[in-house]
Amino acid sequence: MNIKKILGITLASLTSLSVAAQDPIDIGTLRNEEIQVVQRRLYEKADMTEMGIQLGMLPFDPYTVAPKVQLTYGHHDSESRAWEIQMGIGYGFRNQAYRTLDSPAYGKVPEATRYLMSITGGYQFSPIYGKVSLNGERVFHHDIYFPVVAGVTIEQTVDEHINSSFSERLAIAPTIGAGIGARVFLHDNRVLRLEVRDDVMLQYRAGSGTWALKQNLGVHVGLTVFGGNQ
Amino acid sequence: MSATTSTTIITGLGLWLGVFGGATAIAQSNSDEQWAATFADYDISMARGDLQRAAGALIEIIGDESLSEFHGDALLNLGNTASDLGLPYGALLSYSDALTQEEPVTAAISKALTASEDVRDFGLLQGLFGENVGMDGTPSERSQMAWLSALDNFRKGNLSVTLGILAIIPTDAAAYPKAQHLKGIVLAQQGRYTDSLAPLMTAFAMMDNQSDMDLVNINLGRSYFGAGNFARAIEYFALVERGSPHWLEAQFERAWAHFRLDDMSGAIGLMLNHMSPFFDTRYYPEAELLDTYSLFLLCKFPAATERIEHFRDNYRPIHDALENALEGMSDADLFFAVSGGASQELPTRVYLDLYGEPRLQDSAAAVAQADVEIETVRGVSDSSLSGHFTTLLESRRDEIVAAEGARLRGVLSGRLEALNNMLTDTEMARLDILRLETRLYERAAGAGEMEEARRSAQRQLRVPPDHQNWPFQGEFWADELGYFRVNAISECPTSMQVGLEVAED
Repeated sequence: MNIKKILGITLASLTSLSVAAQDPIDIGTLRNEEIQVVQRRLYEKADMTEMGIQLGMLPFDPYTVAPKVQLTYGHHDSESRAWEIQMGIGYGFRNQAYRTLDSPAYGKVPEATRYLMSITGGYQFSPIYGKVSLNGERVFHHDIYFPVVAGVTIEQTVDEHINSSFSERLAIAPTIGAGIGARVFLHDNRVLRLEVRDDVMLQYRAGSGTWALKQNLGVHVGLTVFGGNQ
Repeated sequence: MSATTSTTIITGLGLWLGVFGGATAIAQSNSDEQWAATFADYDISMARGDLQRAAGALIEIIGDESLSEFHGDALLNLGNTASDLGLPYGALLSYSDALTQEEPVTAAISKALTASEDVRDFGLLQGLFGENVGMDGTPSERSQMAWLSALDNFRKGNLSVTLGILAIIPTDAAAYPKAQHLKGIVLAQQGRYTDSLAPLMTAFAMMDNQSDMDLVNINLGRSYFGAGNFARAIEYFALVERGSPHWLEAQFERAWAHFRLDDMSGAIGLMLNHMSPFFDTRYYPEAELLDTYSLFLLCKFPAATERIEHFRDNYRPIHDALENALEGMSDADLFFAVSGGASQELPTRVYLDLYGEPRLQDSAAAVAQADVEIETVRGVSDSSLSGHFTTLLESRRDEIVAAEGARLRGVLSGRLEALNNMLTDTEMARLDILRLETRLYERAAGAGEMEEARRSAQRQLRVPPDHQNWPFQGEFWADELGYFRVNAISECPTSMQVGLEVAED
């Protein structure tokens, strides 16, 4: 890459005169820089509420995989800022690694916790607004946003042998999270939303009696609906 | 038999008394009995429920010149019977004939208006009422008649008569908003642009249909343009909704207003819509030339030359194809080709807008309805009924095809002539551009550098809060149509003057 750049500069210096003479491109033409598209914003967010439902998955836990449903409700203070609360409900199933470790061959049950639910809220920043075109016919407008959240996540120790009581196996953990998402604006105020968010929680584990940090990296896809001005 | 005998006696008595006592009194004294006798066959057939025979009886009366005083009633009843027989076009033609009798049967007015709506043949009544606007009727019927009459006179170019007729449509009539709209158009066509504003604004205020309101806005823009108030014209052209079928036309006319304000950038920005591939089936040769002239006035000679080449490459084949088509096609061919929206001979671009005209679509629907009814009446057993309506329907059908075909030929011939002129003009413009461009470069060669461009005011690109600014990268996006802003920098040297009438520097 660097070699090409140096070679290019050398050649340019040798041929600069002829380049200048052969460079009439910008004379007498309508340049792209002279044209702007000042388009009415087709999908306004400011002062709008947004609520919806997403299906999610927490696939990166070492011992469980948790499908989840997330309900969201938020309000856009401006085109680039919004607050939102999320309530997630799911269930973490043992994954293959857990089952292998739990098998007679190993007999070593890890102290894993499964996702049950979470309530978080926070702010979103969406500095990027763009659009894509499909075959030059359909144009989709979208934004990219960055959510920052805090809240509570409730999980439960997977191993029932630690404590037979459902409630005593619960781990209620303060949570903070951050991520990235995209809204693809459809028709009639509907929005397709994709979001990846990493929630980090400080969890007390009943089995070992220790505090530990845990990450739930979730992938969410769903629909939201924009409502009228509040 | 007895009825016929008594009719003869009564008629004989009437003639005798007419000599001595006056025909009117005789007709009144004998009309009921005469009527009953004349329409006896019809009454009997109707009582039997035999509609075809009833219609046949009426046709017999109509064909008998000696019964001319009953022709009006017979035609009215024939219209009703045709309607009952499922022949709305036949009914319309009968009602129309009833209204053209020496003493028009005013009871046929509302029925004729309804039938014309059903078969979408408005031209028949326009012509009829156009020549007889004073016919009796209810206030509502008189308003409708006046409206149709005004339309007929407008299409014939009788502008003053049109204005007079429009004045009799009362403010509470359903046709009043469109009457005001037409009044504004007529006044504008008479060059009374300022006078045309009030009726157009009245029409706008009374309309509730967005498509009609868009049309009024275009016409308001045209009136302001005609009055030389280009800024206000731009405002009204800009009010036409982006989704309107009239939007592209409004953008084109708005571009002219910008051009007249010496705002070449504004004109070029609007013309970008017409240049986009999304509208490459629309016929806007003038838009390309307006774009070319704007670039020329900014001394963007290579770009102007490129546009001219593009124009010639695009429109020369269209010109040739249109010329051949007009030579080879009859008026009827033109009508069916354009109204059907499919033609091998005609280039699509030149007739696509005509195809979408409500007037042409109405005529096509009327012709199709006439064809359906011709097939229907050919299948009926009563030969007099079949013969009568087949003749009437074929005649009206051919009349519509001929009239609309001739109109289309007129429009397309006008386009051909204009296109021919434009192609010739571009040849001249190309030479002008070449001359000026050569002079520009000769000076640059002499001075050793390009002469500094004349400083001109540059507009500040203003992005309203609810708008988004996208860079233009040479691609056209469907959602960006109508949102182009051009801030073209004039490249005219200080010492060079370039105008539409290319001036010497």
